[in-house]
Amino acid sequence: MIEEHEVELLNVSKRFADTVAVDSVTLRVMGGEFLTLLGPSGCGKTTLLRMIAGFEIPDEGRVMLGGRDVTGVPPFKRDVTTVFQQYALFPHLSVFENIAFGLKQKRVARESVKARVAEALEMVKMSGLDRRLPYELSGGQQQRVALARALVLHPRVLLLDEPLAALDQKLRKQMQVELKSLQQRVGISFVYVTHDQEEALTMSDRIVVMNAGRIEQTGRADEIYERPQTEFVASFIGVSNIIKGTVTARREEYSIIKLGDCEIEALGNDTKVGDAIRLMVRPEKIVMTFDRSDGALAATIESAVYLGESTHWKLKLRDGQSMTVLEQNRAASRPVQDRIGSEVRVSWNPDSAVILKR
Amino acid sequence: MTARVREKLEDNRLARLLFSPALIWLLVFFVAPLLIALVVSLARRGPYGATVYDLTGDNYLRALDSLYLPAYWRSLWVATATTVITAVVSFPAAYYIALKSPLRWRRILLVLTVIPFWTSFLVRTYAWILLLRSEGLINSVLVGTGVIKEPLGLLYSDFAVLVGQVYGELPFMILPLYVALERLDKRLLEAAQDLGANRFWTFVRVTLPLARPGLIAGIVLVFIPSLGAFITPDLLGGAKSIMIGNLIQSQFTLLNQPFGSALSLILTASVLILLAVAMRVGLKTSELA
Repeated sequence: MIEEHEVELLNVSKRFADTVAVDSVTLRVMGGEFLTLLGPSGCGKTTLLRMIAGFEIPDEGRVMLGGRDVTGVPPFKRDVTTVFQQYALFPHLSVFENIAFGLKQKRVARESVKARVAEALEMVKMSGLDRRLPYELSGGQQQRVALARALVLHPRVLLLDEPLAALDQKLRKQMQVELKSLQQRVGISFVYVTHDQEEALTMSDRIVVMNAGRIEQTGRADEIYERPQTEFVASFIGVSNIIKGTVTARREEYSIIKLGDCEIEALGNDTKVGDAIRLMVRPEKIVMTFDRSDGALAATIESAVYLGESTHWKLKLRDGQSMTVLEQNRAASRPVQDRIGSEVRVSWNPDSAVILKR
Repeated sequence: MTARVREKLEDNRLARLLFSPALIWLLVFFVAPLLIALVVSLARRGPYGATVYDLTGDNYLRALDSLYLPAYWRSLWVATATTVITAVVSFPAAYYIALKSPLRWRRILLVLTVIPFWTSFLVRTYAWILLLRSEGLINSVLVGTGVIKEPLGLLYSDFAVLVGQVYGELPFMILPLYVALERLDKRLLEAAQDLGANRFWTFVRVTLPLARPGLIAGIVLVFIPSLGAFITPDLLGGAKSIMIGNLIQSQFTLLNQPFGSALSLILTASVLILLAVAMRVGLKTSELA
């Protein structure tokens, strides 16, 4: 049976010397979910993971596994396992012995060990390589052994600390797909740490974006991308335009924002009239026309980069703010350099403009 | 001649050039004496100590005489005990220096480990006499504080020999162990714990096996000199604690070079055999590097 919360971190904090690595974070991991901790290096995501594993004990707060308080419990007594960044396979042990390491520690009967190791090898498509030593394996194969070694113990949660960082681009993409399907097959909760937004977006059920020891935002990939709540999230994930404006009115869930001499609608009504706010629009959501009759925002083309399938336009708004537009090249167009200096109109769907929290 | 062949020749020439000094040294001062010893060991001691070249196996037969067995036996167990005690004492020290000490202390601790080498081994062994003898520091303190009434007979015993040997060999065990442990990836220790191994099992299943090359190097470095030791037993062991090293030394001073040579060769051969066994049993070739 799956518990409602496999892992609960309740107001955990951790300081190293005088830097705060994790600052009063509360996080719950649901049964069977693929949760990603995403953030730049030093944001506290690895420390958070190590708290779940038991390698770090929080200075404040509690760690719960399956409803049980394990805050001070050492790693070897926790039913979670980790896939380490450089795999950390035991160099003196064969693939078989590496995978059997935890089972032997649990005094599992010899026959059962054999069966479970074989099953784990099968699961990561490494059958037949059980006699090899780690140095005889490629990076991708070592990765698979590390996965098998952790999964063979049927942990409550599998923790993965940037497991794909050491692989080349192509293999990384392939492993992303495999990891996701593996997670769905075994049905165990995965907590995955990465600084790579693409990894986070492709694999996760839920993404936790972290910055400076705190959680910035938690949500599905589309929520994180389409509705970032803070400037940090908006700029860490994908490319974004952040534009300053003033609230002039509110209507249902939208606010009316004055941008220069123009008024536009943007998503978010947690505002007061007169507030100076920042709003975010993704470059690909902006529609750019050379037709000036429209009542939309006026801008001038400053520069352009032709990318084949699309063109990257750099615009300047009337009030001096810059904006990037990514336009699909649906029809054959004039050389982009000819457009520099032209006046254009830009507009977007009100749902695509998100007001950021201060 | 292609460039590659020429390059290879260059390499060979370079190798010869770089190896020659060591090679010449070993030929002149190791192989040649060994051959001389071999020839002398087959000779006979003439009257008045002259060496008579006779081609006889008598010296080797004499070496099997039960008279000398206690010396062989003592050599073997003193060397074994020295090695075991040194390993047990060194491991925690090397472990601490390599894995637990703060980085800025590490270098200082390593220097402290080799500081004894700055003084001659002979002088340091004499220092032990001052510590161990009846009127020495240890007995004076013990008697003075009333722990014991009569001074203990510490000096001139197997105990004294062991103390001196372990003391002298300690750095030769600590250093290779340090090197092996220092290379140990700490994440492996975390991985073991993550998979359910407590500190004890992590040590037995991960730390110890990965320190094995260092341990074996240390064992070889300590056991071989201990087997042939003669300064320590001579100074600290007294007349009762004769080891094979003392036996050899006395044969040469007694002007029985042929018998002394035979004993030397037996010792050398034993060491080589033990080494070969150790390599076979304990050391995979991949670990030699």
